[in-house]
Formats: sequence, structure tokens, C-alpha cells
Amino acid sequence: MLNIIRSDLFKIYKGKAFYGVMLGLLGTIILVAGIFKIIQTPAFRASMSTHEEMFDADDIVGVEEAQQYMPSNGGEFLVLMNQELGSSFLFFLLPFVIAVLGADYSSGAYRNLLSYHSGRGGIYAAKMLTSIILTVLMLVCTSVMNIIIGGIVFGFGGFTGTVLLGTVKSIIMMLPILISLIGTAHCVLAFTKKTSTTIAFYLVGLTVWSVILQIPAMLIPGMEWLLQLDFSSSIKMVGQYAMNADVKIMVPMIFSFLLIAGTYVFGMIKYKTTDFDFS
Amino acid sequence: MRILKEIILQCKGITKQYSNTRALEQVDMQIRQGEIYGFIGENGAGKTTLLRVIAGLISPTEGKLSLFGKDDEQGLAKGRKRMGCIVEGPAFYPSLTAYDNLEYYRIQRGYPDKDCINKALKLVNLENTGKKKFKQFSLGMKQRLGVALAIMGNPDFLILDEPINGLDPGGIVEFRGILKSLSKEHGMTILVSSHILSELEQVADRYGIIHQGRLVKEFTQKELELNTRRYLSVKVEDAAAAAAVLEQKMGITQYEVLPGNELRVYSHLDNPAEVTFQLTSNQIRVMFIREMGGTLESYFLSAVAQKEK
Repeated sequence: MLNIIRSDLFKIYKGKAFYGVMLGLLGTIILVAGIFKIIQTPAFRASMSTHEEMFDADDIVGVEEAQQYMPSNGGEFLVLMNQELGSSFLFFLLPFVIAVLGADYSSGAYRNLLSYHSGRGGIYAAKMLTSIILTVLMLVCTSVMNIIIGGIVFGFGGFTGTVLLGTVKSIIMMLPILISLIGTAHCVLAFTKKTSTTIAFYLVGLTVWSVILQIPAMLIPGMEWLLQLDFSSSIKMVGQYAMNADVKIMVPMIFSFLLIAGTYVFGMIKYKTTDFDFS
Repeated sequence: MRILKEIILQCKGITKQYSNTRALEQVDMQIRQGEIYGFIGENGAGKTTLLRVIAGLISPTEGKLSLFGKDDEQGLAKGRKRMGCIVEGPAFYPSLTAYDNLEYYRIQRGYPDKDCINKALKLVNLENTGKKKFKQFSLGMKQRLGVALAIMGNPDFLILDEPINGLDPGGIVEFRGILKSLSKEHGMTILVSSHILSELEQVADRYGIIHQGRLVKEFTQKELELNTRRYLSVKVEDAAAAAAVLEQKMGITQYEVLPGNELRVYSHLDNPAEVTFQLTSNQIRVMFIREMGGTLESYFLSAVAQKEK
């Protein structure tokens, strides 16, 4: 099992996809930091104040008020990004992890794997562990990039022990939710054996799942808690929890662990008994 | 006394049923150590399905498979580690080089010796591909890389599914040489499937013909030679008298007399005129004389036709 993980990490290291995705993420972080920086410039504030007067919009957050949410140093930028990190992971980085997981199917290399390693349970577990390692690696890299870019753009102030510990905590707390999504995708892969179908299922599923939860949550009184099962919301909550322990995250955590266990069992059973007989 | 070698592969009554088709039906097959077994069949006959069963990609609906004498799950798992396979063509990661693809599998399979990659690449003449990625390889190069992976861990049993597909004439000759060397010098047992029968004919020791999921015939190279031997088919008025002339006047001993006054003469293939001359000189009327005999193709077709009858 360890050899399968090692070989997959070698493949990621040798391939270009991981670096490409990380470069894309770096570009996004630079863009976000740049926008925040521009918003904070006196010229931009003056221009926005003029617009505010022109539209006389009472319900729009005022420029001065909005400035309060803008990071004034690298530490604040890191906290802000930690809270918003989830959405980039859900729609940008996890599909990449699924693509790595599904590369065996798209290249046909699963034939070489299965004809040598007969213990399919071990293979399934190894692939799952590889994708978890990859996710952790990407979370850490993203946080490091946030620290560096935030520091360069907003200055290296604010990186207190609380902020850094909060970042580590948010990575750890985010993991069960991300693993539950990877586990679901891995399970779908075991059924469809097609990477593209699985990624499409994953992205469409995220949106549909969110809609399914929102309808009863809005229409039926007392069902608001369902929103906590929405992955985007739960990741945001976990990000907030890292800095504020009052945020309740019990429901999304339990749901994640149940999803991990369920999809793992279903996926494993399917993977162990399936015929790999398509060309 | 003939010493029987170890049975490497044994299939007993292997059947594979898909929802509405039966891909394999009661296939019995046995391969002994050191043999090169040519597995012949038309497209869709069931060759790849059986190879998938042996490689563990699919499970048989019925029947028993044993590898190196073991048929339990653990034994099969151990057996498969002694196997090298290409099933359904070579499959590698497109953006990695030949070396990196093999390094990936070396790590995955836990081979400690890094040099095994270079040895395998050298054996298939891919040692100089440098930074060229798999996706830039020609079909022949891809096939050879598949063979390199299959032989990388010095397996005892090699399974090659249509390995000659896509190879140019030079590549086919080269590939034949590789197979012979693996069998003779490395003592590997090889199961090779193909529909290019002329190529199998030059390397295999034993053959199996599969047709519509059934193994319709198994035969050795000697049996094939005997059955596809070229001969002069001579139709005469009096076969007994003709046989006497062949023996006494021409010294021919390799002949057969068939019903209907027909003779099969296995020598003098290059000089049928001489045979005709001797027979007619001895007042034996020759109705026709022509060179006949088969190839693996014709043998395969007759075996399939017989089964269909």
C-alpha cells in the first residue's frame, strides 16, 4: 500500500498538473490581494465616495464601512483567506484531486496496477490516502502562499500565534469535510470508472445538493439547520470556528464523518467486486 | 522418461457471462513452464476476456483458475506478482517519459534494483528515448514500452495480448527475437495472443484456438507442422502401383495413400515434373498433381469450420 502511495506521489512530482494548479492558485491569491490593495488606496476611496453620492444608495455598504473588512496587514489577509479558502477548494482544487485519482482510469493504467496488486482493498485505501495527502499538501501550500503574498502586499504584521494557530486549526477542521467530498468522488469513480463523468457529477452535485438543502431550510420552520450540511457553508463555518470557538460546527462534522464512512464502505465494496473490462 | 514441467497456468471450466452474452464458455487451458503458448482467435472470440480473468481484472462466472499450482485467493495474488502482463494494449501516463513511467511502476511494485529499468528499456530498444513523452511515442514504441514493463521484474510468466499490433515489419522481427530470447535465455513462460497467425507460427511451441468463447482446439508446434506440412497431391488411376513406383524408382518413403486413389508425397516439392514423368513412364495415368498444404491460418480456419459444423 505504501508503495502505491509513494509511486503516485512520484507521478504528481514528475507531472506538470500539480504545479500548474498551484500556479493558478498563486495567481488568484495575487489578484485578490491586489484588488484589496487597490480598494484601500485614497484615489479609489475618493472615486467610490463620488459614486455613492451619485446613486444615493442607502442599502449599499458604504466605502468607510467596507474598509473595516479590508485587511490592514498580512495576518488579517490570512484570516480572511482562510475563511474564503473553502470555495476555492470546492470548485477549483478538489476537481484536480479527483482528476489525479481518476488518472488510472483515463490512461488505462489501472490494468497494470490491478494485474500486479491483487489486493483491491489495499489499492482503494492507498488511492484514498494519496488524495488526502495531496489535499493536505495543497492546503498547506495555499496557506504558505497566503502568508507570503499577504505579507508582501499588506506587510508582515499581524502574524500572531493566534492567527497562525487558527490557520493550522482551520486546515485540520476543514479536512473531514474535504475528505468526505473526496470519498464521495472516489466512490462515484468506482461506479462510473470515468474521470470526466465523476468531475461533472461532483460539480453538478455540489450545486444541486445546495439547492436541495436550501428549499426545506427556507420553507419549513425549524429546518434551518439543514444549511449546515451545505459544503460551502460548512467550510466557511469551520474557517470561522478556527478564530471564534462560538461557531457551532457539530452538525457538519458529524455529517462529514458519516459521509466518509458510508462512501468508503460502498466504494470499497464496489471496487473489490467490480469487473474492469472496458477499453 | 519424459519429465513433466511445472504447470504455470491452469484454467478449468472458465465461463464468463455478461448480462446477455457469454464471453467464455467452459475454457480449459494448461500452460507448462517454459512454453510459448500462442492463443489464437478472431476479434471478439474471447481472447482478451480470458486474459483479463487470468490477470485478475475480471472474475469468472464459473470455473477455477490456478497460477503456479495455487487456486486460492492468496495463492493467485502471489502468482500474479510473478507475472508480467500487457492486456488490451500498453497503458501509461501520457505526460511521463518512458523511464519515468517505468520508475513509477518500479516504486509501485517495490523492485529495489533501479537498474532493472535500464535493462528492460535496453531489451526493447527504448534506452535512447530521453525526454520524449509517452504521448509522443509511435504505436510500435508504445507496444515495446508495454513489453518493457511486463518484463521489468523478471517475471516467470509473461502474458502479452496482441503485442504485434501496430509494429512495422522491422519491429515484428525484432519483437520475435525478444520473445525467443526471453523464453530461451530467461526461461520465461509466455502466453501470447494474436490474430496475426503467421507471427505466432514462428515463435510458439503450443497453440490454442478460441472461437465464440470456446477453446476449440489445442495443438503443439509438431502437430501443426504435421497438419500443415506441404505436399504434392497426386491423383492417379492406380494408387498401389503409383506407390510402388515412388518407392522403387524414386526412393520416396515419405508419402501417404488416401482413399480415392490419391497420394500425398511429402518430398520432391520443388520438382513435381519428375514425379509426373516417373509415374507416366511406368504407365500410370496421372489425373492431376499439385502442391498443397496448409499454414496456421488455413489450419485455424479449418478448426473453426469444423467446430461450426
